[in-house]
Amino acid sequence: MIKKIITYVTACICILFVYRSFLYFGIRKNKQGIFSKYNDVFLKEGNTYDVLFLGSSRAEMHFEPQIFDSITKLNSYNLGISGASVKLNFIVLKTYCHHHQKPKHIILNLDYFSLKSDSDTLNDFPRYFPYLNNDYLRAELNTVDDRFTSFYYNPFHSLPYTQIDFLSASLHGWLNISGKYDTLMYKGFQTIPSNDEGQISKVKPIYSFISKKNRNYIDSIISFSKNNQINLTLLTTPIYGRGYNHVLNKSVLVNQLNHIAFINHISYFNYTDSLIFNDPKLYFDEEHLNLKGAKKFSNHFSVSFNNILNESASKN
Amino acid sequence: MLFNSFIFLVFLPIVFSAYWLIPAKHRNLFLLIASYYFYFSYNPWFLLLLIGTSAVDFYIAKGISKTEKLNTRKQLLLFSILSNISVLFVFKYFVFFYNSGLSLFANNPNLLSNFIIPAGLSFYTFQSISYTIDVYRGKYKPDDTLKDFLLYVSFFPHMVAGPIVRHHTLMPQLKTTHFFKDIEWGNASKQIIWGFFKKMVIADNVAYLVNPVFNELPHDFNSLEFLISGVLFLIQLYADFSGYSDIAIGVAKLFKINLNLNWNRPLLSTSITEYWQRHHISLTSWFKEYVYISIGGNRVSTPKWIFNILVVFLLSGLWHGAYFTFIIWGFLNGLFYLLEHLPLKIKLPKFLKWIYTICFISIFFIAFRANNLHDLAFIYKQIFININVSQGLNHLLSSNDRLFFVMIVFIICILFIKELQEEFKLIKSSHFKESVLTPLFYVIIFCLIFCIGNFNANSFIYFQF
Repeated sequence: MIKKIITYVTACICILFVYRSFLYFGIRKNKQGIFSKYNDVFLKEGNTYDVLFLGSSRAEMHFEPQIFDSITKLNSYNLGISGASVKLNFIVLKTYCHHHQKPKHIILNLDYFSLKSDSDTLNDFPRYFPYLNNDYLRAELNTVDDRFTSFYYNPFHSLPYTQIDFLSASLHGWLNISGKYDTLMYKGFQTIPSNDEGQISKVKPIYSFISKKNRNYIDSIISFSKNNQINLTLLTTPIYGRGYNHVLNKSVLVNQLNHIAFINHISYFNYTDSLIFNDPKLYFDEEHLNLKGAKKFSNHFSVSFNNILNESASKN
Repeated sequence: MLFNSFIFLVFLPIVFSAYWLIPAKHRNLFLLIASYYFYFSYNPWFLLLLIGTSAVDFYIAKGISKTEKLNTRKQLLLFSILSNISVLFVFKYFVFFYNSGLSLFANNPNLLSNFIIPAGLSFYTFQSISYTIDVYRGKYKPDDTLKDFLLYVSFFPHMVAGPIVRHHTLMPQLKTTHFFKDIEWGNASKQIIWGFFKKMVIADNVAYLVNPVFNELPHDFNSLEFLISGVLFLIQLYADFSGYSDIAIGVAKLFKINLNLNWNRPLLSTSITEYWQRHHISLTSWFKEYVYISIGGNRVSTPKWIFNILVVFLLSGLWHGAYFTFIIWGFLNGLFYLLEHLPLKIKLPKFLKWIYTICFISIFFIAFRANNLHDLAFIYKQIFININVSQGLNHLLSSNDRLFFVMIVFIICILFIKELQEEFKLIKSSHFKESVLTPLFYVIIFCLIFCIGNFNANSFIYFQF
């Protein structure tokens, strides 16, 4: 009986280790789709992008690098990650700078309606599992969630979180084929086609504030940028209903972000007041622009950013 | 507490270890407390309802057996049935009848929203009713203790979603002293692993394809795509519910309790009649014994028999919930059950009969799954009136990743291969099969649960009933 149990347990452990390797190798082979972005950042070494866009899905879906590059003549990459907190943005930035050439500019999208949250929870954390052999990343992620060491070593702990969509992503890598929206991804920019109908539904507006933790993380990113001679730009991308549907005290928060920018001598762009981005046809849902909206916004922002670059060049 | 939740993984080993460590005379009491804790974790208040209804039935059964007067016995039985049905009515049917009545007579009715249904209500009330009816019929003498009876109703593996266990199956086992060395480890673990595989790998993954279809009702889907969605739902429901039964039966085996078979590979049926002999057997046999036979069964005139069959199927539909969609589901099944009994001599190859059964049962189960009558009418219109299959499965396939479909098909194939093996013994029993193939199969199945199982602790479909 004991012999049988040992045999079965050993067989299970072997199968799970082999499967895990198969799964992660496949994912790391992805050249398109969401994992290709993580592969670019967490696996590769020595990228030389001039500009990095940081933020949540509202950065990921709003900054179109192709348009930005053509207007500014810079080489940009969209490092927005859906559900990313300010803390995660800082981790991603540090990890990127550890493995790649430091960028000249960072454009950080700050959604003032989500700065209230004090939680450091990592949204969709299994997506980092294939990259836990990156010691720097693992150590950084461990500062948020100390289970990452266990996830790295113990497949019984990590595999229950990965589920069937991971296998699908892995097979895409092994077979070198694209998923549904994979081909729409370009230099980290992920979008939804304009003809895909989203839903603009009403959300209950709240009173918000910038939590102490988030304020510290913002300050940390600012210090990190200064120490590494990176130009930081803060920004809040467009939102349907100009943000009033989300936050009742929006003007207070905008003033606070303006203040942070002012005392640190950096720029802050607030696009939520812009009436030209209040057209529902530009949105997939109330918080995310569709492809048409993203192109319009990227064009608009790139011109403004380019003007600042030109102004500072002429001053120098 | 769901079987597929982390807390159950803690609960089960504790209860199992304690059960076998304490003296045999206290085991039933311990199991009763554990079962009540299991139920308490769903909703503490509904535990009082469970204790109340089962205690009432216990004392009514005692009363029935004590008196010889037929009238008193009948009144007591009626009281038992009415008290159980009243509880069912209040929680499950009141809102339906109230809203339906109000909609008929008022222009802008203030409709009630549904009450929270106590978990397993339909299962344990049916079990209690069957007990008092059997005592009334003189099948059993109610010489059980209150503790044993309460455990019979609330034994945690089967309480929430069946199988509906009859007194003569469970009670003798509860009264027997069992020994740890007699546990059938192999059978119990195989059944539990297979149950979890069905629920977490098959049902919960197929749900990714099925739920958007029935919740969003894509208007560009053609007949074939809705039919395939129906087939997928049939598979999801079967894997979900039979998965629960498998886990329940396997867990009960750890306590040396054998629960009755609830599913006998219904997806391999070659007629609707056969399907109903293999699907949710404990409920079907309950309806057969306590409704169908009580109203005359088949020993009546043909029109009365037709009426009896339709009554049983309609009640079976209504048992699932107070919605017109369930009633339509019951009616369609009853109608086709009757049609199959017409003296027609149509000889079809077995494979075609299987295709016919799966297609029609799936079409009926679309009524079971549809969110409301409007949705059901739309889907049936797309299938039967706006027939268009020129686009094939294009929309269904493009609604998700194509590779995802391939994986789902692969998973479903595992289900069918195992069931075909059990049905037709494709690989004959041998030492190699028993010592290598079978253990290897279960090791792989166990690993697949970890690799592609859904660990989100999704509720079982039949919990809502």
